[in-house]
Amino acid sequence: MSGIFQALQWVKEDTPIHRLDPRSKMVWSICVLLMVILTWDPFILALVTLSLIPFVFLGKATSRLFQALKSMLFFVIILFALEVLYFGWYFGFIATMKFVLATSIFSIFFLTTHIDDFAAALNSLRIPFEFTFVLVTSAKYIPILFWEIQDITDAYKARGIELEKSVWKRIRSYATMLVPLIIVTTRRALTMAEAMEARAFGYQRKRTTYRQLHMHLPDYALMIVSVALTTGIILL
Amino acid sequence: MSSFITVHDLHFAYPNYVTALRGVNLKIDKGEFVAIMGENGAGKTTLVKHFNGLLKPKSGYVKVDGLDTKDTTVAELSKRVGYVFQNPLYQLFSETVEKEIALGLSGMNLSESEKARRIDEVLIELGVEKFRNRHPLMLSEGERRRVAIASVLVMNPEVIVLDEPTLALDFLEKKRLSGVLTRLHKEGRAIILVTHDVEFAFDLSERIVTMSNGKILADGPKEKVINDKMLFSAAGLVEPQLFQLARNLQAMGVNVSDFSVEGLSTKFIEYSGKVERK
Repeated sequence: MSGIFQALQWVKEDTPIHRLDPRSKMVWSICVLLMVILTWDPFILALVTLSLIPFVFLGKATSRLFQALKSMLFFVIILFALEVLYFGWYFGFIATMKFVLATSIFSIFFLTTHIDDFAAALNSLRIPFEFTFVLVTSAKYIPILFWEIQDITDAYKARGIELEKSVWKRIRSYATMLVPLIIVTTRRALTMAEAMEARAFGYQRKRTTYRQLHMHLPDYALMIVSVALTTGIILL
Repeated sequence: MSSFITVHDLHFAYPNYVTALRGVNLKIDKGEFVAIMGENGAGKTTLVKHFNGLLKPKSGYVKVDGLDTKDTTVAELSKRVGYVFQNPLYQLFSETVEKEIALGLSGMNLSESEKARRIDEVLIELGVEKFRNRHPLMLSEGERRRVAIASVLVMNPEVIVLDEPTLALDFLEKKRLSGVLTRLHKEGRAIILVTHDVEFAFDLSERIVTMSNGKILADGPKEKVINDKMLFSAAGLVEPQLFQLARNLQAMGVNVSDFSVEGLSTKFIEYSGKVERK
């Protein structure tokens, strides 16, 4: 399960895609996503798939994107089987294609955009800082949470309890392991709240930012092309 | 006779991380008191997690009591090697101290009376019997750590591994902990201590193993390991204050061989007597 989160983790790279302004990338991904959601035409879907390829390659996200898709493989197969069962081969294939494309777009966006940049983009769209702060801290907490779960599972196993026995026993074991997890996470949250207060969080309404976002020529180009193509295709 | 724990050319790497162990060879016998020391990221915890099978070797092997850890479950190994984790909060699952200690017994085939006898025994052994019906979270850091040790001890393992047991303990609790460990060692159990605390390790252990960058740097009787100042500092460690004192005495021409508080005091008194007579 941690595969999904690992695959969605941003990696520091210096590529043309990483350098793009998060706002232009947002516009791009919303446009492409709209196209994927609205169309049922396999030709347009193929076109969208082709248009994603340069992003994946330039953003050096190929292996991670495949990792993300691989971790969803089981889910995708079930989805495909159900769709085929209810709607037949043709629609089943297209619906699954749409799902895979939509998740790929999300993946590409988060693989090439740091969560801080994403938050800054949201802030510049007048979404309150408190909201984006929660978003950023919870996203950053995910890997820590996985380490903690690993440690707690290890500690449980080290007490000589076999986890692999019956399903019922397994579920009960997981319930037992939740106790320290909840305690540890609650404590961490409380400590963090105090640390934030100690650093005067919320003292000033108006905030300045350390890293300012700037749009450059490629950003404008990307936005104009995405919006133009999307409206064009949808109107046609 | 072969050792209780044998580590042979052990290599290990975490997924997506750098290599953590590169060729570790180590033998630990029954009844030993070993301190494993080294800077953060040296591979100490990774090494000891192999002793009860929480981690499995990538290459090489680890044998505990003749069992290859690769083919043995953690549950089976935990009867032989008890592991006390760094953070006691991660290992306390139950609502009372008594139930906490009983948890490890649930996987063992024991009669009820035997279980009760063992629980009573470790509660007294670690001085936590007055907290029997308390919630483990309501205890102090040191008491919690003793409950964690009790919960491992109740399974009667031949070896107890403690990862950074002195962390966040006050002086008195540390004293109490060293008393507990000395007693467990006298009962014939092997103790493996993973620690940064040189004073604590020097005080209690007989043998020190230093690690750096996934390899063992030095391994031997504690005085010998600490005395090699270059090698000891290569593991990111600073010799205990007693050693610094001993070195100062040596510089004044006193022949020091016993590095304990008592040994050094006698030497010092001898020396100051000589000075006065002059």
